[in-house]
Order: sequence, then C-alpha cells, then structure tokens
Amino acid sequence: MQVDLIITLNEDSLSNLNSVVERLKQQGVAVSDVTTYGVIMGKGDSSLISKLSKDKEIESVIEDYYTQLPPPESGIQ
Amino acid sequence: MKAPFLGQAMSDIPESFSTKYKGIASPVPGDDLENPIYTGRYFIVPENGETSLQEAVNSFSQAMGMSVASSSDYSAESFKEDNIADADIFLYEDLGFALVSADQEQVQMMEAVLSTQPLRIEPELVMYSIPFEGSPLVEGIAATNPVSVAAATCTWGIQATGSDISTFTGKNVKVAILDTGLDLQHPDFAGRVPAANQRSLVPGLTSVQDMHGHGTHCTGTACGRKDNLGTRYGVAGDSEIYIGKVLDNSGRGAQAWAINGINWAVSQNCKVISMSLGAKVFPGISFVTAYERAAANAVANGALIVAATGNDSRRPGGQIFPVSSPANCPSVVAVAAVDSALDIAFFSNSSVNPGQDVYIAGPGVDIHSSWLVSQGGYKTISGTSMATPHVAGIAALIWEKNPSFTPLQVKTELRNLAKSLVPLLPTDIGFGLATAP
Repeated sequence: MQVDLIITLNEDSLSNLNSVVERLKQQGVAVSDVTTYGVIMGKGDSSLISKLSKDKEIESVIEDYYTQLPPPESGIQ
Repeated sequence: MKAPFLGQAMSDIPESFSTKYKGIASPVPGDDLENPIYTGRYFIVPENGETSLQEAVNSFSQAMGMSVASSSDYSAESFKEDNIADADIFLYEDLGFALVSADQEQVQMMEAVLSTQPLRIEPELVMYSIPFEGSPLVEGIAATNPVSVAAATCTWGIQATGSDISTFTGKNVKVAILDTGLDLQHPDFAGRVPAANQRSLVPGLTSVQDMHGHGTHCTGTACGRKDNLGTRYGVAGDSEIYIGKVLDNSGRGAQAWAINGINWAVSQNCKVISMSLGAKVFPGISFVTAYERAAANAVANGALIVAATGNDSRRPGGQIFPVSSPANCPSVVAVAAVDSALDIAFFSNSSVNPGQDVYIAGPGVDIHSSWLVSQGGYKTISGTSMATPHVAGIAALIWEKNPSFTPLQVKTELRNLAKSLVPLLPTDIGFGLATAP
C-alpha cells in the first residue's frame, strides 16, 4: 500500500543527504520534498517503513498522518 | 497484570518539576514514591502504523512465557483491569498498542528485540487529575488589571496581556500564521496581506482563502487591530502578516504540509511562526523528530515557533493529556490557555511527558476575533488555538523592541515578562501568563 512517508536523516549523515536521497529513490520512494536539515518527504510502499528504519543513516521513518481541527461551529478550537 | 503504581495529586509537585522530570534517568518508580511519573508498566507502541505488534506480542509470549489477554475478549462495558489480573501483556487491538507488565530483565530483552522493529517500548506514565475548587482568581492581577475598565475598547485577552498599554505594535516584524488561511475579503486586513505574503501548502489548493474560519480568527488575534465597533482584538496590529495555508478547508492537514509551511515562513524571513494546530499525544510518546528538526532549523534561521498545547484535557476530574505535537518539540514554545478569571482552561493540556513542557500561557477562553465575513465577520470561541496567537503577537512586540534579539532571546524575554499566576501549576501554565513589553 502506498503511504506518505516522512524520513529524517541522522544529523551525522547530513553531508550525505544527496546520496541518501538517491538511494531512497532507488528503493522506491517517490521523493517530493528534501530539506537541507535532513527531512525527506515522499510516497512509498508501507513495507519501506520497517526496511528504512534499519538504515544506519536514517534516524526515523514515519507514515505521515493528518491532524484535524474541530468543525467551524465548535466552541472549542 | 500488576496494578499501576499510582501516586498523589500533581498539585503536590514542587516548582522544580521540570528539572525533576528531566533528571530522571530510569523509568522505574521509586525515585519519588509520593509523586511517581511512571506506573511500572510499559507500552509497546508501533512507531508508524505498522501491524507487526501482534507478531511481537506472540513472540514474547512464546519466548518468555508471558500470558496474553486481548481487548477483543471483552466488551467495552464489561472490561475492568481486574479481569486481566493474570495477564502479563494486554493487547489493545482497536487502539493498536499493548500494555506490558514485566520485570527489568524482561524489559531489557524486549527492548533488544524491538530495537530491530518499528515498535518501541515506553514506560506507562501516571495521569494526574487536578482537584477543582471553583475559580482560583488571582486577586493581585485582577486588581491591577480591572477588566471592566477597558472592556469596551479591547478584548479581555488584549487587556490581560497588557497589549493595550504597550507602546509596541509589531511594526516591521514578520509574523506567519500557519493555519486554514485567511478570509481575504475581510475588511480588517485590507491591504495588509499582499499576494507575495500568501502561500498555500495544501496540495491542489492555490489560494489561501479561509473557508473554515479558524485561520482568520488566529490571524486576527496575533496581527489584527479593531473590529467594526472599535474594539481592539489583535496584539501586533502593525506586524507584517504572512499567511501559510497548511490546513485544508475542512481544517485537516498533514504534517508534511506543516513542515513545508515552516520552511516557507523561514524562507520569507518571518520572525514569528504561529501554529494553532496539533495532534493529540499520549503519555510516553516522544515528539516527532521531523517536526523538531524543522523547528530547530527555524530557530537557527532566526524564527521562533509558537504552538498550541492542545485541547484534549477535561478538568476537573477528567484526564489531563500531554502537550500536543508539534508543541511538544523542544524547539517550539508550547502555549496553554487560561480564562478571563486567569484560571486554567478546562481543556488545556499539561506537562505530562518528560521534557515536553508547557512554556507559557495565553488568553484562550471566550476570545473575540475576526471570522469569515460570510458568517458575520467576528466570532467568540475558545481553545489553546486562541491562546497561541496572543503569544505570537507578544513575541512580535518583543522583536520590535529588540530587533537584534535571537529567537532564544525572545523566548527568554517571554519568560521574563510572564506573569506568575499562583496557585496555578507550572505544569499547566509554564512560566505564567504572557504579557507585552
């Protein structure tokens, strides 16, 4: 199943950002955004989460989730 | 399953709470038997929606002889912890996590196994409810800030924060509101938000036009001026407004959109980034690494993020929830809400998870501000979402007064200016009520 992924590099690996991004693409991540501070966003199969979590250059991999405000008529926002 | 290790009320915790929490190295009860933070039990929590939890639980059951019970064995009405007294692991199937009763050796073995999987083992935290005894109005503050005097000319939040008597208005300070957008037809913001100051980060939406109302309300509190009747409702009325739409028209948004919004605001050299949004965080859960990295990058580039602690708590008597995400990130200023009696708002979240503390409080109950023109143009609502832009506006005033300040200096100045609200707890309001320079 395709999911939205947020991948954060180890700070020690920031100098390898470009090569990690290339590697992620090769592994099937459709990268949409790359930040200079090592957060990479994109889409990929959910099985990549456990796979990439074992990567020593990656600090965390999470499936993006949505936040939801209360409806406009709610008194507490 | 062994019973949780519970303690006394949070009100007994001294002011040094934050250092006390951070100083605890071991999640084992016993450091402070009267006010324990941990129950002595553990959660196994999937990090990212993975479904390998059942597999892990089965393997622990087999390898360590642990007995397993599951929520599917009970209806919601009939379940009590007494029913699972003999279980070592209780699997919350609907909620997708497990509660484990294990000794230290077993915990270490589990940690070793789980370190190779997208599952974490976290100590269960004690949830404290706060005894409620009416409305503990702080008389000293009430006496020096009589609400009735200025009620006709400004909102109670503007007055309580001293924004009405400040000589600063946020002039030349760029403030980004990351929210549902802004009602671009609202006369109160005419000429204040040029197209270059607008960006939708929501895929498929090019306009920042607010169709919900939340973003227009927050923008008004942080950066607005006066309403159609002349009542002042905004803190930093001369600030430069930047609107980042990171929530869609139903108020829904992905973390990635918010991170992109932070990056956009930083690229525009915004000094203050106000985020009245968040996701509920449960006890024992860490902050999101990517959010923290984005917030730390903002700070490194001269911007300070203020965010809402969340509205998940129910006082008195109900649960007190931890600070929401992303307000729980160390590089973000977490804002709680108080009411006009300067009492904690019944919904405002608290410093429950170690290191994820409330920093400051702002007015967040019955807040009058701008709303969609099609729905009358103004609305009075409550929430930590309303408290947050008060603090964002005050941060802009501080920056106007001290243009060379770094974000951390502004954060410290927020602390220095904060008004103590004894007997409210620092776990609820951090350093106190934010006030204007």
